[in-house]
Amino acid sequence: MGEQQVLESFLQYGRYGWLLMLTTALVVAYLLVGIVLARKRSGAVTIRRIPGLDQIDEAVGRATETARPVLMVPGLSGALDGIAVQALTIFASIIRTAARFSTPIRLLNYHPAVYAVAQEIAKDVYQTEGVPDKYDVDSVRFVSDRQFAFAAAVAGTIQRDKVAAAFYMGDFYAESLIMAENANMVGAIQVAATTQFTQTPFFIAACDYVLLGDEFYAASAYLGREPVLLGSLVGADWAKLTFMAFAVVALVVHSIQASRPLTDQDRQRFEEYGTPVLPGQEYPQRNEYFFNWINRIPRG
Amino acid sequence: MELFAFTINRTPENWATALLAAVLVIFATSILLFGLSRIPSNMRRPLVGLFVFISGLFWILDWALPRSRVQEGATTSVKTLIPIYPYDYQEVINVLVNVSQVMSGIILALGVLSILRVHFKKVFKGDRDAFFSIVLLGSMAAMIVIGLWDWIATNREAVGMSTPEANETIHTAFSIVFLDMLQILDAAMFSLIAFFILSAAYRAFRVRSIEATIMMAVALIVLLGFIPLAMALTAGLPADGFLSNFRIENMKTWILLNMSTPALRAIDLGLGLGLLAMALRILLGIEKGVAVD
Repeated sequence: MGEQQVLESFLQYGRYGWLLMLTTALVVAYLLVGIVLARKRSGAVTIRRIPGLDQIDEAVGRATETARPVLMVPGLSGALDGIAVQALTIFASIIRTAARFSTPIRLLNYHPAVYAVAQEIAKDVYQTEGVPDKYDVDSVRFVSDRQFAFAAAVAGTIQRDKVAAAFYMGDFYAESLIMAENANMVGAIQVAATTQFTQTPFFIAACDYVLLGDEFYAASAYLGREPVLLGSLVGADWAKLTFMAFAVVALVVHSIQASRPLTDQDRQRFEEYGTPVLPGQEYPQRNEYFFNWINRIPRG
Repeated sequence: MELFAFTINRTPENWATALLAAVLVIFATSILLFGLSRIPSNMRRPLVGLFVFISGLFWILDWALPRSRVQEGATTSVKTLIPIYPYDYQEVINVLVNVSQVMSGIILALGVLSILRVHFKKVFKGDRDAFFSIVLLGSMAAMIVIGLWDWIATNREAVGMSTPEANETIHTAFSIVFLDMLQILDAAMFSLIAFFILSAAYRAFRVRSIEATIMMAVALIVLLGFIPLAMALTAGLPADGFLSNFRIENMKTWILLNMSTPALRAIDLGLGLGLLAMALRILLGIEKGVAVD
């Protein structure tokens, strides 16, 4: 350690607050309990219908009828992260259906790591379905790792190949609408799911089906119906219920505290934050009360 | 760790160290890959699962290990102290990040091969769109040659082996292909979004159902709420009191703060929980997807 001198040590919760650690631990515990219970009570967990995932067969079927390809885009993940993995899991299911009907596919990738894995998956799926000779090595392509060059290439593929179905799953940004509108021009059935919630409205406006929020992450459980995977969804639902309860408690505490008149000390503090308290502008600032209440709870 | 933590100061000693490190890494990787290729197929899934778990554990530890404020001479810094070399966990993470970047670089070659295979095939087959493939391959070659040449020239300038004046031609060429062409083309694609938004909005806001009607009305209020001329329509209403709620800018703010933002946050919360659940499934090796198959 040399001439280093340790002045103080602190756990992460000392930095971010105990609430974050507690919440994370609670959510992880919910997920684990959900998984364990689902493993014990196999078949007891059901999952609601997700129309976007139910449309896979129909979309691929239409592509088969029209002899046009199915397009898949696993988003703009900067690496082979969880989002890209989830997207490829869904695409594996689509490729399986396409392989059964000998429907051509186009899987266009933004990141070379995602491309390498996607290619192996596609090859593996065709082999599993007993039709390895029908796998076209050029159907899974790396296109570009520049956002708009990628968008241009996807739009070009859509227009040239007149795709019959398009699936967009993963991280999408400004290029989402370029792709979706081009596919709409050629009359393709479109199913989208994005983890960038700012792009969700664009997909809703342009696509036929959109998986909202965590429906995207529920896809592997939905498609596989494995009890263990369904269990983690139950855990996530419990976590959501807890957050909802927490929001209600926060609402009550906030309302009670907001009914107190502002003191001079409060005003001084607000001004320190750079937000002067003016008549008629006091109410939104009182959100601070709730967080102060949390911060007053002793830590460690 | 010292081997990986060196800084290249462009001295012969450091270059020798870098070369030695590269040879050792290539040798170790070759042995590792050979070993992996010899593993029975039924052992591959547990092995991949183990690799994934250990990889994930590095990041969990980064989050969970306590931090320390450390004084070193006159400077203080925050470190994650560990009782084994390199004593600061952040250095372990840095090495992992570097390894990850090197692997990404290697994988990029696969991507380039994919592009070359697809487009050369189109050219040699005399495909209908072969012209575009020729343009792509030509642009790619030009960008690689000019980019590499410019990079070498810049590095030679940095160590005093050359001057910017001597390399003016290549710097200008790089500026033309990158700043004056590629970035402009990027901007052109980006600008297309404005027209696509218009066509998507036209379809989405057509009054065909109750939901579409509500959406159109709300969108109209929000749109008008941003336009000064539209704000003038309700400027006659009082600034305070009950009637002020009907000023178009106040309605817009209320919709954005009390309807749009909570809905987006709810979606974001669901996404966060879903990602956490999936990360846990992958770490525990129970995800039946591509991560461990």
